[in-house]
Amino acid sequence: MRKHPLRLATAVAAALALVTTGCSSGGDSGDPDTLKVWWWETDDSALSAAWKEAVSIFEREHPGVTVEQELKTYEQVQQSGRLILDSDDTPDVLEYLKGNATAGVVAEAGLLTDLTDVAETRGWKLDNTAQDVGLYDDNGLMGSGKRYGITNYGEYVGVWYNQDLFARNNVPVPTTPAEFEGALKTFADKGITPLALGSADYPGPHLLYTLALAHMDQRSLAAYQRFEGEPDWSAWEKAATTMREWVERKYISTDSTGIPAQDAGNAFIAGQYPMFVSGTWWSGQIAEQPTFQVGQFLFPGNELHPGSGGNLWVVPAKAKNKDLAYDFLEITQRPEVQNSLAKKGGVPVAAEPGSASSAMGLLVGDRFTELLSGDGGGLAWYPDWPVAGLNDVLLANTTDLVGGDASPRQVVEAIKAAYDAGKPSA
Amino acid sequence: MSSTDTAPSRTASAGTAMRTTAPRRAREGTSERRAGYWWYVLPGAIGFLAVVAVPFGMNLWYSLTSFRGVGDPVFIGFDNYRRLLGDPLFWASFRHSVAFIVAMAILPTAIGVVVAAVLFNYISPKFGTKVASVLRATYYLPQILPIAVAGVLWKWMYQPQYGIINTTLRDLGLGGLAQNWLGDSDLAVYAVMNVLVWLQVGYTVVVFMAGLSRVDPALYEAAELDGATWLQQFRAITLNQLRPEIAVVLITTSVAALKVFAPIFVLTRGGPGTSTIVPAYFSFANFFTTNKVGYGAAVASVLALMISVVAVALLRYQTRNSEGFEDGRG
Repeated sequence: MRKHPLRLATAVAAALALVTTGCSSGGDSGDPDTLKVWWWETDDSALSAAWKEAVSIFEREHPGVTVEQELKTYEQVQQSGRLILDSDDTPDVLEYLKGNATAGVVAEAGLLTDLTDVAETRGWKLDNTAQDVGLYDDNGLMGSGKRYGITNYGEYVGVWYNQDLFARNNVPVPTTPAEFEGALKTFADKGITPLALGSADYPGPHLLYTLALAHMDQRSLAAYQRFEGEPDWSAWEKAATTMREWVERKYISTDSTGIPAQDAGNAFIAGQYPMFVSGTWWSGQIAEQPTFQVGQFLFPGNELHPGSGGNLWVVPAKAKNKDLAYDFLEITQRPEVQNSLAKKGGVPVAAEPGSASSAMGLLVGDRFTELLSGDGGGLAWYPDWPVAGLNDVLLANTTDLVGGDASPRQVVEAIKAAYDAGKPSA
Repeated sequence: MSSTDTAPSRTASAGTAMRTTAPRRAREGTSERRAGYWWYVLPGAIGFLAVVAVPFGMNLWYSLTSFRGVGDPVFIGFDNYRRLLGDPLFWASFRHSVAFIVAMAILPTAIGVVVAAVLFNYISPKFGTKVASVLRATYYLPQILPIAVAGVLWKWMYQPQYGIINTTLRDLGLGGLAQNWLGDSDLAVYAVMNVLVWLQVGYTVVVFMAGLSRVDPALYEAAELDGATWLQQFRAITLNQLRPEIAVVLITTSVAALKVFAPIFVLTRGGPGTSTIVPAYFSFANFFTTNKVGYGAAVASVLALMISVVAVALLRYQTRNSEGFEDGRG
């Protein structure tokens, strides 16, 4: 009788072993005539349309090869990306999140294919700062080192504005910080909250960072984003102070702490606010609204603006058909795919000049090219990139700031503490 | 009409029969026959090992490492736990858990027992069982709604500018009462508590109504003949008879409150600031946004330990106090 529990345990262990080995083996070693491509962009996006075109070009040029495209969600890749890359069933090409905390971590862990030599051998033109998001050093820090991914689109944060509301209230388009504050005051004096803001979401930290960038130069930017020296926290404190003042002067509604990004964007698109500080990812939705003339200007007085190349195409280290993956990546950089992206209002990184057929495409495309060249300013990446988990800290503290639950100094001290705790020790 | 002690005596005799016959059957069975039964346990045992025991063991192991989710975990002993003890956010998350125990266990139990009594003892006799059933189903509706849908629904209602709560208040000329419900760090925890109460009441009402259906109606009839008021009947009979159900509901809902995640994730993601953060969300954030998998595992382990302690304590208290469970103690 005593043997039975033992027998049971052995049977359970054996069954478990079978189950686990069955799971981990993942089955086949990969069909050489299949390219597996996973992305999360929804079908109505400019990116999805462009990449579908890349797939059809790939199929035309690779007769006999089947492309298996799977649509994932952003959250799936964000939360399970490491497991996907570490599994034996990983795709050949995957859209992945740029940044130290995401692509940097998996690059450092050896889960991504080093594309440096591939890019050189195949002559990929990646010599622009938008492509810095694909470079990671040995510590997984973005911006230099080996190439682990490429992007084929860009994005930046600017000020969207309602031209009709500006004209109706006799507000000129501001070109200096003083004029910008003047515009805010004019609207507020007329009982109109000038800025649509969703501080329950990323627009809050983006505005705070934009205000901090007004007091930062390339050196303090490198210190913050690349740990090259001590960040200028006084710039952040000035930004937090300004943001708090804007709340008190009713340039920003305290309600914004309960408003997510989508609601803020929707309210701007509905014509309820004259201005919306946010990124080019809104261009498609904003362009579709028929009720007012829309314009966009860069945050007045700033040399640096939040923005970067877009998310990455990566080739997992465990990918089965890497050569096919490289062929696909190459196609996504071709002018016809890039032009297609521009036509749909996306921001291409390698489109032919004037290829965008829409006013919005031309507006955001040309401005991004300008920012890339550094002539009219530069791309400052995003505030949460340096340290994993900083986004939650920035979000929590921005809502506390707008809600009046923390002083500008307390907010900056909390951000600094999280930044210091998370930065590489070496 | 049955006598007042029929139902309890039937339960007790059934319990006695089980206690007397089960050992006899065991004595009669051969070891070979008993060996045969092990195979029935096997699927459940494999499931338990694969889904609970092994992942929990791995979680414990990761909690002793500085694992980032990729690469090799580096053993650091109890560092994560030491850090946890000094982390104000961790303690804040447990303080919020107390609020959510009130919202998910105490208030729904109190409301549920009153609603069930009103439905069972007043609505049902006066308006018919169908009306009572429809009302019970209405209370239960939030329970069958996916939490994501319920969360989005409440977010719309709470939206400060066009949410139905604030627009209704403004339409009624009570604009001064309109609030930034989920965006105000002083209010958000109460706004979330309100949603949790709304979600949970249906469960408690259904359980208590089922409990009341086993109470002998003669108890109420006798009390009525003695001139007891509804409130006296409620205190002396309903509350007393529902003690086993109340205990079970308190245990299950308290455990659910300690590990609450989905409503927080959908409604506030722990904000504004950290005013609604809970241990499960804190653990999740460490796992998936900060890459501190080892630290997140330590939070999850402490949470599992605390839930076990609370569940065992409540079970023991309930076993000592509830007649319904005393029978099964032997």
